[in-house]
Amino acid sequence: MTIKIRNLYLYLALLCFAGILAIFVIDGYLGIYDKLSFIIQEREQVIDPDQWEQRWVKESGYSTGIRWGEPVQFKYQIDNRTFSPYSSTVTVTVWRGGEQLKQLLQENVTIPSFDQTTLTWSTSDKDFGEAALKTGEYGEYTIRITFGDIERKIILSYYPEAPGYPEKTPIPPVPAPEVVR
Amino acid sequence: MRIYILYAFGMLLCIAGVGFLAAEYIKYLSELGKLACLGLATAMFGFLGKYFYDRGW
Repeated sequence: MTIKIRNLYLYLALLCFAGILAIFVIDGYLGIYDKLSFIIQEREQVIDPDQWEQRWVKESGYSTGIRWGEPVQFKYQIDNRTFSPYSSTVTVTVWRGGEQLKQLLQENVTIPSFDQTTLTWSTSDKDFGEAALKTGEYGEYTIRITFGDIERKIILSYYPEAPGYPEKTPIPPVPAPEVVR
Repeated sequence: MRIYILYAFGMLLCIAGVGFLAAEYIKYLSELGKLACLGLATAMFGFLGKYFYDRGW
């Protein structure tokens, strides 16, 4: 006995469409996601998982300006949205011109399934081993965060503190021109 | 005739919109997810074709 359902193939096509949407939602949610936040000049900057996927951030890294001498506190959150625990070593290093200057952090993390962990570290101009920047000089340093197959780059563009305006000085009186008769 | 041109234009825009959204979303999918989406998309167009065929189009 066969039951003939009217518009059967249309329902099957709609079912496939619903399946595609379900995969977009579920597969997009599952995975390992990381979020970085730091405060520079009282403004919090957050780099969300979506932002890491932007082409220019992926290739060249996230770039931001910072005044020389200002310490930066980083907060790094790793979110394990998989059905198994995730273990890896998180390494944070400072680079300039292809040369590693300092290792800021190295920590083994194990994140249970559907859980997250937060790592914090800070950096200041002392980590770069350089004297203060002169006026008009810029120093660019790369913070590399690596864990598993993932590598994130943050480029800190340091600039020296701008000198204040010079104090006003009274203008010396201009002598009146002598009149020749 | 003019109304059919408008229908075709509307359908093209819909397909372009769905295609753009799919291309954006698919970046965040795993390889297995992409494969499953491809399979389902093929099946969907197959079923749609069969449905229209049965209706005599």
